Amino acid sequence: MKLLPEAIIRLFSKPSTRRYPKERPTLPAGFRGRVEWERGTCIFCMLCALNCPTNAITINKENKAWAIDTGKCIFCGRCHDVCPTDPKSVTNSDRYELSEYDKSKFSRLFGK
Amino acid sequence: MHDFLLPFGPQHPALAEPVHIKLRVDGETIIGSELVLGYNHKGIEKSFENRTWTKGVYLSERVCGICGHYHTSCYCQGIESMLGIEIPDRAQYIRVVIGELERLHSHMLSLGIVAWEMGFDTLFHYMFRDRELVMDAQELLTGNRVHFVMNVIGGVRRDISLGNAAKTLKALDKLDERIKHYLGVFRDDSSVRNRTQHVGYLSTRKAKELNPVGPNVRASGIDYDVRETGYFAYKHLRFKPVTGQGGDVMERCLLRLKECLESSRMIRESLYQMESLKGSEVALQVPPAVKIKEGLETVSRVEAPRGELFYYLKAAGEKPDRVKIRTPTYQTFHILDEVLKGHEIADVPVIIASLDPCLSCTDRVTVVDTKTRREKIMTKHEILHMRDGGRHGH
Amino acid sequence: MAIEALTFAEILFQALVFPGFAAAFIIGFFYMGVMRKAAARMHHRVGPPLWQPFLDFFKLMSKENITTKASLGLMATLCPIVSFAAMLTVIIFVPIAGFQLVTFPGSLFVVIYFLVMASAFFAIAGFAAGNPFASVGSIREITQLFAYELPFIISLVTIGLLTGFQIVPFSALAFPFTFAAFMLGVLGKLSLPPFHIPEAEQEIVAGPTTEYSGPRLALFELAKAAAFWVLISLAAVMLLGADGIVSFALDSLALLALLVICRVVFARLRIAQALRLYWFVLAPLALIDLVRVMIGMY
Repeated sequence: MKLLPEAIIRLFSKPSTRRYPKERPTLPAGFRGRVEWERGTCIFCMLCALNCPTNAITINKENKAWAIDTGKCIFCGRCHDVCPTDPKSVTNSDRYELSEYDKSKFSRLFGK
Repeated sequence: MHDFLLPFGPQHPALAEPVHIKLRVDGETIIGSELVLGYNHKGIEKSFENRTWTKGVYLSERVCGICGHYHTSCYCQGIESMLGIEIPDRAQYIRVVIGELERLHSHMLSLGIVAWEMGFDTLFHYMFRDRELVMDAQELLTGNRVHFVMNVIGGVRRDISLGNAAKTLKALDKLDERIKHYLGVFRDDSSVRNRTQHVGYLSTRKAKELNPVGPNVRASGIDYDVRETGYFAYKHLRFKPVTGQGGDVMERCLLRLKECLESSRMIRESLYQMESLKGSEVALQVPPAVKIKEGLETVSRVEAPRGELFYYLKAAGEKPDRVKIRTPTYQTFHILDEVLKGHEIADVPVIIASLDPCLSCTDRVTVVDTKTRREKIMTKHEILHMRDGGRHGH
Repeated sequence: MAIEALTFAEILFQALVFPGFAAAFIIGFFYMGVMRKAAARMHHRVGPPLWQPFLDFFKLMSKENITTKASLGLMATLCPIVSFAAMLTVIIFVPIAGFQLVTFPGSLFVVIYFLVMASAFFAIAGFAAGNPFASVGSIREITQLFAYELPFIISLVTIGLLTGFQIVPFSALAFPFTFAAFMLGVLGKLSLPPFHIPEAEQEIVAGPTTEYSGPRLALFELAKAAAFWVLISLAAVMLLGADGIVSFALDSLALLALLVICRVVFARLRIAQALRLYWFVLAPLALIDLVRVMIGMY
């Protein structure tokens, strides 16, 4: 019976559920979402591709193309950590709605 | 009434993860049980052997979703001891803060599950709602609700800013109030008492014989807690293990709540003590291709939320030769036969939930060398000697 | 009102529409929907819409009947129908704001009989499934029936002594033990916390209804809706004395609120504990009221 007072109060309060997708969460800074690449600052040192735990990044130096397979990515942020440029070319954005109907869309090609 | 076999699992609404417990039942009374594990075997120990040490950190996180940080801490601690380096003080404090946050969320999850197994879904929902305070704090500090990957070899990846520390402390204030409320509920609510008192009793003598670890053994009066050895920053915090004498489900629940309060206190103290180390580095510069001398072995232990987590590492240059993970649930779960005997079917889910099993961690397979048929038993002295790569024997 | 005084059309209306089949369907599912929504709100959640039980029923009706080799198919289909029918038959004896098909001295015992039959066929359905979980659930259902019937019948007899063993509007507020025994009996029959033992999801999957799917499960849901309608109406009339439409509606909703509160604040009891509670606590208390009535001290 100890929970009765709280239960009655809760009956008349707003529920704790966030009504997604009408309401969206506010993400903290530093949230590790989808990985993005900035062509302008990249020096093609290949460190991000070498250090990726799942080998999700492929870089083509001649075509200056950089691709990440979001399906393989584990969103650990290591690519961002090892990137030597300032500001960093590889960042974790706060994009988290990443579902696709087609698996091939997971591989995102930047550059060209 | 003749007895029959009631298959509890592998698919069962009470179980979050697949495990098979064959219960021999006579009416409602359990006269025997048999545990069959192995449904969650992922082959992680083998996968470690194909990855470099740095990539292995990310793999070790994924052994378990609830205690991932402890796995990486243990793994990194082992590698750091083999390399003979000591991580900076600020990194040690941060490892403790994140670790204790994870202990908080794990205990709250476990208690919510116990409440649900009792048929008390109101308490389950309330506890999970309050657990969200911890999840939000974790997201704030590390960027993700689970799988933080805060540890790198040589320290931690991110620092805790003053703003984030203040927000975490505010969340902890709210959480402390709620945990004290739940202590009252678990202790005094007659509905809860009916289901948890004198259920699943493990005596001190049996606990010494069967050797479970973690809150399960501490609730039976034995104060065994690896944090007493003072790894990371625990040596600077006034840590004492929380024990209880009851040995039943209620005692385990109350013990976990008290541990939550203790964790919250330690996080506060760590954040406070960290202020004097403001600006110092959080990680040592370790070359990305970590090379460890071939043949070097070590043993690393931490106190995960469920008990003592134990990693054995054997090096072979850039990659490990062998990683053996002995998780706390692996050590604890075999007491099931003892604690289930003589109880009713109705008590089975409550008792299992009170042991707080994490079956993702548990399933390991023993590889026997059939060619040489060699078995090796190591003495305690030999194991302790392996710490720090054998450099400093304890 | 004796049954000869009604025309055939009136009998048909009362049996099929109100307070019969349609009322059980609509109002019963409505009660269930209110309970789920209110419980969810008390849990901080949003909860399903109020008409969710209707959606569940129609969805289940559209699915396939899967019969395992170990189960008795015919029994499995018959049991929910008989359970529903037995429960709904009780309503013809209950005066709901002027609608009452039949009443005669002693109709209370017929009511008791049909109520027991409804629960018994629910248990038989579990045995017919051929599944160890369902068997355990059925054993629990029968044990629980055995447990709550004692104080429940004592309380009914107490009220019956004062109403000529018919069901007429009667206020039992002067007899608190009778009230408690009756309502806790209702909690047991509806499998609501703390007596949601036969269908213990965490222990025996789904109890008697474990192997049921599709239209058969829909029939069980219908039986549950009928139980809600019948038992709450019975309690509104026999415990709170509802005689007009407004008082009946208010009393029913008040009792529903009481059931919702019990749903939210209690954990589950073990079957042995429930038995002890019913037999050694409630039954003696209910006996006190019975003796009070028998010796005229009220």
